[in-house]
Formats: sequence, C-alpha cells, structure tokens
Amino acid sequence: MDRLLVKMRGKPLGALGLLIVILLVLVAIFAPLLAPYNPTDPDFMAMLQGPSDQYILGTDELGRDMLSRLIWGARASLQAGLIAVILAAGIGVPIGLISGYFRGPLDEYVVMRLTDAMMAFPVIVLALALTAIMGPSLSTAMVAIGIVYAPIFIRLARAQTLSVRETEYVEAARALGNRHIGIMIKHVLPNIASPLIIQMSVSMATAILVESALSFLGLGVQPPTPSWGSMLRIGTNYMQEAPWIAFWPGLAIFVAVLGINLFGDALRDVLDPRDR
Amino acid sequence: MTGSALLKPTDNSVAEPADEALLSVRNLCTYFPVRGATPFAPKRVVKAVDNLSLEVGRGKIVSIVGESGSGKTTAGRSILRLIEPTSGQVMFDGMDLGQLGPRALRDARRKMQIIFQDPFASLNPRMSIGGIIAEGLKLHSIGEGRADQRDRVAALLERVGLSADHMRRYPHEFSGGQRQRVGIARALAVEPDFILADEPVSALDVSIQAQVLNLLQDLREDLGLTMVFIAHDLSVVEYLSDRVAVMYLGRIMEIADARDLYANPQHPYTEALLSAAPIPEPGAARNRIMLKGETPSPIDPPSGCVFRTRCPIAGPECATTTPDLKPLGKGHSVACLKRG
Ligand SMILES: Nc1ncnc2c1ncn2[C@@H]1O[C@H](COP(=O)(O)OP(=O)(O)OP(=O)(O)O)[C@@H](O)[C@H]1O
Ligand SMILES: [Mg+2]
Repeated sequence: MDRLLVKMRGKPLGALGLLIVILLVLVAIFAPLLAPYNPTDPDFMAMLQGPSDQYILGTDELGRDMLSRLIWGARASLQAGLIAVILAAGIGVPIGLISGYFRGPLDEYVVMRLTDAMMAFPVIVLALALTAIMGPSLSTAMVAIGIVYAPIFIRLARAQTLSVRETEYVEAARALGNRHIGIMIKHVLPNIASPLIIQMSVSMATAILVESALSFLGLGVQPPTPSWGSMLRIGTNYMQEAPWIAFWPGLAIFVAVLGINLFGDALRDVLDPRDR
Repeated sequence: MTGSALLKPTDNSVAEPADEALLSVRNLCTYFPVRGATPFAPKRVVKAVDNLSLEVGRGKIVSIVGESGSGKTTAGRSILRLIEPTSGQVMFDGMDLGQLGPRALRDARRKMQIIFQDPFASLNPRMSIGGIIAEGLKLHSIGEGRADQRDRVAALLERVGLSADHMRRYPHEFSGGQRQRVGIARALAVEPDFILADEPVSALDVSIQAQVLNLLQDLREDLGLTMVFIAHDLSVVEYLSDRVAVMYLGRIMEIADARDLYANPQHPYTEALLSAAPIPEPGAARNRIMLKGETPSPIDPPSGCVFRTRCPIAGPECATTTPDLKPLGKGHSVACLKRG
C-alpha cells in the first residue's frame, strides 16, 4: 500500500482518482456523523427549497435535506457498485480463465453460448425475477447486476487467457512441472489482470447507474432510504421548479464515476512492473 | 550450501557404456489437423514431424538443423511431451514418457528442461527474476528452506554471468542476451540431466550469440549435460555438436556424427545447406549449390521424397518412392534414393 502511494505521486490524475475514492468511502462510512439532518425526516414547511443557510444544498419534494440524503446515498450507491462488480468478477474471471485455458467443446459450445444468451438478458427482467424470490432490496439489485455483468468478465478473461496460454512463458511453466492450477494462478492471472482491473472500474461506474435505474423502479433501495439513483430519478420530475434535486445526485454520480475510472487507470499502471 | 552441487563438475571418468542413450526417440509423428478452406473441404493434416527417430547418448549434444517450418520446434516439444505426439515413443532415462501419468510426468520434468528461442516471450513479465529462477526449486522442493533457495538462485545468476542483485528486478529491465541467461538459469535450477535448446541464440545480436553459445558449452562440460540443440543453420552448431540431424518438412534427411556430416555430406539438401553457409577462408570456396524454388507447403507436401521438388539430382523414382533413412555405416544415415 505504501508502494502504491509512492507511485501514485507521479500521476496527478491517478492521485485525484484515489483522493475521490477515499473521500467517497469515508463519506459512506461516516454518513451518520457527517449528515446534518436525518435523511428520511420530511419538513413539510420547507419543500422544494433552494440552497439556504439552513439547508445548504436545498430540500427535496418532501422537504428532506439534500446534503444529508446525498451523504447517506453514497452508502447505497458505492455498495451497489462495489459488491455488484466483485460478484460479477468473482463469477466471471474464474469461469473465463478456466474455459479459455482448457478450451475444447465445453468452452466453445457451453460457456460461450451461455454467455451470449446472458449478454442478451436485460438486467431489469432478471431483477424482477430475483425480486420475486428475494423481495425488493439493495441486495437483490446488487445480485442482479452482478449476475448480468458476469458475462463481460467471462468474455474478457477468456479472450485474454487465450492469448496468454500460447506464450512461451506458459510453456516454460509447464516444462518446469507446474500443475494447471498453478499455471493459471501464477502465470495467466497476473498477465490478464490489467484489462480486468480497468473493466472493473468501468463496470463499477455503470453499476452505480444501473442501481439507480433499479431503485427508481422500486427494485433496489426502498424509499425512504436514499440512493443517488433514486434521488436523480425523482429530481427529473422537478427539473423546472427545483433543478438542484437532480443536479446534486447527478454531480455525485459523475464525480464518483470519474474518480473510480481515474483510480482504475492508475492502479493498472502501478501493478504493471514495466512501469516501476 | 550455496548451490555448490550445481557448480561441481560431474565425474566424467566413470565411463558410461557407449551405447547407453539417455534419450531415445522412435518413430515420432506429430500431425496437426488444419481447417480446410471451407467447412466442407476434406479434413487435412500438417505432418509437422514425420517418423523421427533419434538417440542421444549421455553427455552428448545432438543438433537438429533445418529451415524455418521444417518442424524442429514441434519435434522438440513433442519429445518433451509439451505437445502430445500423434504416435511414436520417447524413452527418457528408462521411462517411456508416453506412458507416464500427469503426476509422474510432472516429476520427470525436473530431469529435462528447455531453453526457448525468444527471450522476450519466454519470461513471465509479472515475475521477478528471482521468482522465475526459484519457481522450479519450489515446485520440486529443492533446497533446505527459503534461505537456501535464495542462495541457489544467487549462485545460478552468477553462474550464467549475471549478478545476485538482479534477483529483485523484472524481465523488461534486461537485454535479450541477459534474458536468455535468465532462461538458462531457470532451466539449470532444477538440476536437469537433459536440456533441449530451441534456437537459443537465433533471436540475439550476432555479437551476443557467441557469448551465449560459449556459456552453454561451458555449462555442458561442467555439468555433464545431455542436450538436443535446435538451429536453422549448420554453421552455428558445427563446433558444439556430437551428432547432427538435418530436417526437411518434418523428416530427417540425414544424420551423422558432426565431423562426418560436415566433411562428407551425403544428402543433396545437406550439401545445399553447407554451401549456403558463409565460408571462413576465401580460398576454400565450395561449389555453391543453389536450392531451386521455395519450401513446399507442409499441408500438401510432394509425393515420394519431400525434397525432390528442389533437388538437383532428383529422378522419376523420387516422385513415387519415399526414401527411408539408410545406414551407411559409422552412424551415418541418409534418406535419399540416389545416395548411399
Ligand atoms: N499448433 C499448430 N497447429 C497447426 N500447425 C502447426 C502448429 N504448430 C506448428 N505447425 C506447423 O508445423 C510446421 C512446423 O512448425 P515448427 O514451428 O515446428 O517449425 P520450426 O522448424 O521450428 O520453424 P522455425 O525455424 O520457424 O522455428 C509448420 O508448417 C507450422 O506451420
Ligand atoms: Mg521453431
């Protein structure tokens, strides 16, 4: 980790990304201490108010404090993004790696055709089906996003593995007497990690957006609990009278997505020994 | 112990029976299926290695020489069973490699190693030099603990002409010649009896080639290694080989003791390769024999003798009969209907 920090110094954009990610995580963790108001307490005397001394970022359609909702919303949004992507990569990378490493009919006719089918599957439909089983909640949304995103990681890990498996250093590893599992973990995985890390940061950013769509449909975070997505969607109904309701969560999503992508970019460079 | 066993010359005075081969390859064939131009075209194969037989005595170097695409790499990989051969037998140190299960084969790999052609592709870019060289030690539990393994890695680095502080560096920090030395150290780490060197210097600058060849030569003498050395040029292997096999389109055309082959080539292809080689003394000009045309496609090789389409002395019988290797005595064999 200290090595990581040292290396980030030479990369201002990466450092900015790291800073944003750290800030967001801190905000999510310390939301109860940071939020000036209870994010779910309506104030019917102050609905749709613009920024003021009392409510720095204004209030929403029920008079709830936008700043407090934004701070609490970081929790749901970051959790959704992070856990969904960890789930997707956790399912996808091993399958793609093993499938690409061994190839054969199982890879070509089962794994590839199944991922094709899953790629065509809309996340909303899966989320609806899961909701029927698990009930609507943030976890349901995360699992749905995780499953729907898994094929991206299967394909990417497989494609990268297909080229790495043909390299002479993999052949050297076999010649030394490695088992397949050892080759996959020591030689293939580290050499396919860079694009996977980039993909994880991209997917995490879009997962935050998908979570917002699911929340809006009532399939994710349940009202009155805030998430940036649900706030943004509600805000679009009040664009004329109270544009800040959509603006603040929109800005938060933008900054989070940007920060995560910059961070992912820099992380890839740091992990590459050629860049040391 | 600082890897002294590795650096200790083996005792050559204990005479092995002259005919005992460490490696014996019999009728090895490796065919690759190739897709036809259309899905409905008949299935075809590339006979990358066709009916290859070879004996390598303990402590000897046998070279395999041939042009690009003649199947040298495939032959080497098939011998080490890194590629599953189509048929044939490989006996190594009394073991039939084709009969070994996965576990026994992994254990046997400790005794046979490989050095690759491309030093830029053969080292894992994500592993440190120390990690690369220590991998075999860990896999085969060689050495007493991590400290001893470190010492061994340091000794190996120094043995191949690098320094012990290179351990923590990564492959991209090294030149081609240095990387090739790392590849050699990796192969030596597990104390093999046999090393297959697949064109170990052809990717290097000419000025570096001699250094790496000398290193291999030294190691071979110090450690009593048995080697198969692959090259695409007869001149590279002249002084280090005990025996030389000349390959063309997957088949051995001629095999003989090195001195005999260079002095007295029998196959027209060997003659052509020798005459193409640079000649050290200007006075000793050989009659240049130029090869006609291109190497034919291995998917659709000529009938009969595969060399006949480029052969200066081919006759009509060469199109119908495939010549087998015929012994001419003194371990010299040639596959030619017109010679021998
Ligand atoms: N995996 C494979 N699938 C299909 N054909 C192959 C495969 N590997 C090699 N070949 C073919 O087998 C033939 C021999 O290839 P090989 O690499 O063994 O030759 P080589 O003598 O080592 O050549 P070079 O000097 O270029 O290294 C070539 O025609 C090649 O195209
Ligand atoms: Mg080759």
